[in-house]
Amino acid sequence: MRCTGSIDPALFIQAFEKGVDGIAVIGCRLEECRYRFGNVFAEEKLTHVKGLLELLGLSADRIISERVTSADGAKLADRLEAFVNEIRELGPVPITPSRKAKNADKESVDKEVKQLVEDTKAYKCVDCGKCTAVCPIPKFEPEFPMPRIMVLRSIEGMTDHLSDGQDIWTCTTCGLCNSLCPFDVDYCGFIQGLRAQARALGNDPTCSHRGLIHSAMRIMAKATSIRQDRLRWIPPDLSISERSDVFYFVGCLPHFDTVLADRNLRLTDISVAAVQLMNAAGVSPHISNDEVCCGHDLIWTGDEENFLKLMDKNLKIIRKSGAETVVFSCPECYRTFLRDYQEFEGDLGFEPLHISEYLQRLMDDGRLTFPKRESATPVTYHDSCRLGIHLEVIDSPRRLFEAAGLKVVEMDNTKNRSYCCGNCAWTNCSSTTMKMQLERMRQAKRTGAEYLLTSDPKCQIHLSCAMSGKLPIERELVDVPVKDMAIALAEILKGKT
Amino acid sequence: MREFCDKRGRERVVIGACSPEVPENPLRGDLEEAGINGYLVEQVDIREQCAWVHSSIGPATAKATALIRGAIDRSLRQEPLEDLSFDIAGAALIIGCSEPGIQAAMKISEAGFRVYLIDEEGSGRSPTERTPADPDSGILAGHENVEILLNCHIEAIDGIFGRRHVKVHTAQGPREFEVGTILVVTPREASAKDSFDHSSSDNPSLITVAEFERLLMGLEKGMQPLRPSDGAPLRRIGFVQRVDDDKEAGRAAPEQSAFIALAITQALRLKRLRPDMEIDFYVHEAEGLLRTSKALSDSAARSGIKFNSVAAPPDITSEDGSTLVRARHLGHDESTDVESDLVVAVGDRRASGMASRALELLHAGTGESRTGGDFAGGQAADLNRGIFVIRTSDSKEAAARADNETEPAASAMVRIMRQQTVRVPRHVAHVQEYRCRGCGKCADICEHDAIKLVEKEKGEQVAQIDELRCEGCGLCRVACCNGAMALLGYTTTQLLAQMLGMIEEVGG
Ligand code: SF4
Ligand code: SF4
Ligand code: SF4
Ligand code: SF4
Ligand code: SF4
Repeated sequence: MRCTGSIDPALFIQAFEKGVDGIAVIGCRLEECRYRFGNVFAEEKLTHVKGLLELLGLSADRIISERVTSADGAKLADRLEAFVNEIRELGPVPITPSRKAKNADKESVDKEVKQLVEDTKAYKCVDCGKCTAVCPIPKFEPEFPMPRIMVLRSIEGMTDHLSDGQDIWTCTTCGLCNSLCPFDVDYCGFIQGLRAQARALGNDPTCSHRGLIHSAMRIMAKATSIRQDRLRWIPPDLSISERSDVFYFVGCLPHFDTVLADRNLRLTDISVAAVQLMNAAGVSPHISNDEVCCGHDLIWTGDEENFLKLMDKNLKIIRKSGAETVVFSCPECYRTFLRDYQEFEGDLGFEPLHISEYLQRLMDDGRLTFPKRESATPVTYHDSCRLGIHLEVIDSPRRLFEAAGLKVVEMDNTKNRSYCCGNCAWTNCSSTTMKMQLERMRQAKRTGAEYLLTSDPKCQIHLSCAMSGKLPIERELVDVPVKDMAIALAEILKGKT
Repeated sequence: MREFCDKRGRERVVIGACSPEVPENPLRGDLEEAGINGYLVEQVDIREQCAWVHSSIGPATAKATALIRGAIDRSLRQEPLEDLSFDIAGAALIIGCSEPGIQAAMKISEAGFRVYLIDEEGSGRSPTERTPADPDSGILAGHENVEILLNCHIEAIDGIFGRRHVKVHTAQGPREFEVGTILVVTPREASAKDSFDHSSSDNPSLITVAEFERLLMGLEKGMQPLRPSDGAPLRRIGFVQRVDDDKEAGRAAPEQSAFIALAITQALRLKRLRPDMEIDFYVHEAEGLLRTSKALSDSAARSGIKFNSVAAPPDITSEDGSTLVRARHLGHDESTDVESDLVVAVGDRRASGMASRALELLHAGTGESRTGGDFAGGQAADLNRGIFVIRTSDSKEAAARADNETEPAASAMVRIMRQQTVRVPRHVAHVQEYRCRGCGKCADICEHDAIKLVEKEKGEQVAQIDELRCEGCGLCRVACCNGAMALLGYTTTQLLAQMLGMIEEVGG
């Protein structure tokens, strides 16, 4: 490496995922950087990596950083020796590295794709082109092969593009095409399946954040007997229970806060707000330190093996808790449970619900009420593709907003015809993604709303990412603050507007 | 090796030998002559990584095997590239007319190159403080190639390595010239204390950045530094930015930024060692934090270091062993007193302003390892880009060291200028346009102004690299959250392959 400042946090996490037990960073003294601040920058990134390690249940002591000059040989040798001893004491990282499977052969892939065409009813496609007309991507990226073409290619048995093509990773799996297809082709299921095949052929997606996020998820999947530290976000005044009918599934919010630390998103505030709202209705949910990532981003990047490991862990923990209802802040977790887990497992034995549905239910039961407000604040609401298009949960959030005295002004694309935040499962984020995000923000701005409310923390991450840097257009055209719906509702409940 | 490659038509070579970091690496040179692209040659440093540090042969061999395996996997993913090439102007700029500067000027002019020897002060100063480089003193007689410019102020240094365009202002009016190499001779150690009034600089609890550095080094070695006044434990430390009284209001001094940055890194180190320590920074409103320090101060603020914007430099007074920092915060009429156990004065002595300003303009680090000592061996130009630094000081050792550094630095400068064209490895940043979101985070972090956002089409921006300015630090690569930025020769794919190769070899 040229400078410790150029070491990517993703490399650290990937190293641990592959079974490395400790990492020593050796570089120049802080005030002696050849590039002025490279090593200070490195130290800052290291604190984020260490935070993530702690969350995952791996000790932060597995990384040391030594800043030395060429005269410090003996000192360095001592430090490294002490470090090695410390790692010995900590023992090996409890991760079983999966052997790199040999790439699948074309024949078996062809067979799988054929089956997929059957399963997703892709064979029914009559080439009507409705899907192509609604897909938001070709508008910004004319080279993107229309969904219709992807379907037809597979029907014709053409699978060559699977081993190196990027298109299947560029589709955001927003499902617009799905919902409009007159012949019921399950396009998203089809893409999900193709991705597993592409991966089997060695065609990995280009991950945003250079694979760091997926790697952390795989650590959660593969780690055995590890004690995570994921409940630090819970403030003392929240009421949570050791046993409860309601299980609140937090998902990866604490991890995203750490990975994206420099953006200061405070995503776990969403969870705080969600629990506050439940508390206000007299519900004290159970929250588990042992839950793991739902696996959404792994199955949507073709990694079924680790997805299944995550699923098993989660189902075991939830079933053990005895909860009857599992409430999610993240529609991706929700969809994963409702669709993918059930597809593999059949009936789950509990009811998954998005927080908006659950709160609406509490409201209908008269347990949750919002204070009366003088004038209605205009807001607009972004239906996330998982919640709005895939699962068609459309009314619950809107009814809550209305009850809380918020006036929803709809954007051009809304409800089950919503417009994607541009990214799914942290893959292939690109200039196209940015353009889609700006388009969405422009729509939001045009409504004159004070806030753009989201129900999916990831939409919030991606949309606010677009706003966090320089813009190619005037900021006034797009600057609407993005806020999670639970946070907005909890604020109203507390009398803040 | 040449024969081997010729016969078998090899394209990529991995060498297990000693350090590849030697000037004009002969192994690589030979292979390049045999027609192999140098970027497809990986060299593993078995000698230093294994032979020199392991006492038994088993682990040493295992490690060597893993390192080589990593290098092979990385090499397989390398792309052939062309070196960057820089034309070198046959003139040198020397900043600082003290002894080392004059010696270097003589040496370089004897080699036949033009030298601009500049100083911000005039002639006729006391000979004990500095050797007067008065043209009348005759010391440079016979060196017509040396032009001495006194009472000089640097307006700007632009351009790239080998062709740096210098604009100065002298008593006789403005001057502009182009130089191939630059030597910066810094005056004695910064003593920000000088600028506080006399009563306070007698205060043992008011120290300089340099003094604080010694304290910090002690702390890092496990010592417990105490309050200088009475030996009480340290709990709260203030860093006070010093400002020149006669500076035009509102104009930030570039030379300050290096010192502020240094002080912030010190504060960060302190905070890491002693998380409970309260640390306050007092930053002058008009000066503010300069651009380069912004990322740093943000990071410091996140670790709990407090930044105060003050309307004027605070008063420092001492009372019963503790020191009071009296500051008027921005937007407040009243002053508040903060009791501190130690106050670090941050800032440069005015006298060293020119050297610091030059380093700032050149984006050169200010730490010790930037001094001539490190470059004396005439490291590959890629490492120093024709900029040399000699740090003088009041202390005898430092003066002796500066003496030792002068001759090698001058020789290295001559060597670079003799080459006329210098090739530098193309280890520079590279944008994957499709992935670039045009957010500009890379440009914000780049110290070398090597990244610009340009309009690709209406409503779309993309980052663009100026390869000749890029020094390949790789910070932009990490700052780009989306992986659109790569560092050629060190891409994520290449590094990951190398790492996984090593892991597999060890674990397998
Ligand atoms: S909408 Fe359905 S039937 Fe029409 S082209 Fe698309 S996949 Fe085929
Ligand atoms: S899922 Fe969305 S992005 Fe993908 S092809 Fe369909 S409409 Fe386009
Ligand atoms: S839009 Fe999302 S995936 Fe893309 S860089 Fe931003 S946070 Fe990452
Ligand atoms: S940080 Fe990355 S995405 Fe942003 S402008 Fe730079 S290269 Fe493009
Ligand atoms: S590698 Fe360093 S010098 Fe080059 S463009 Fe990136 S940040 Fe700037």
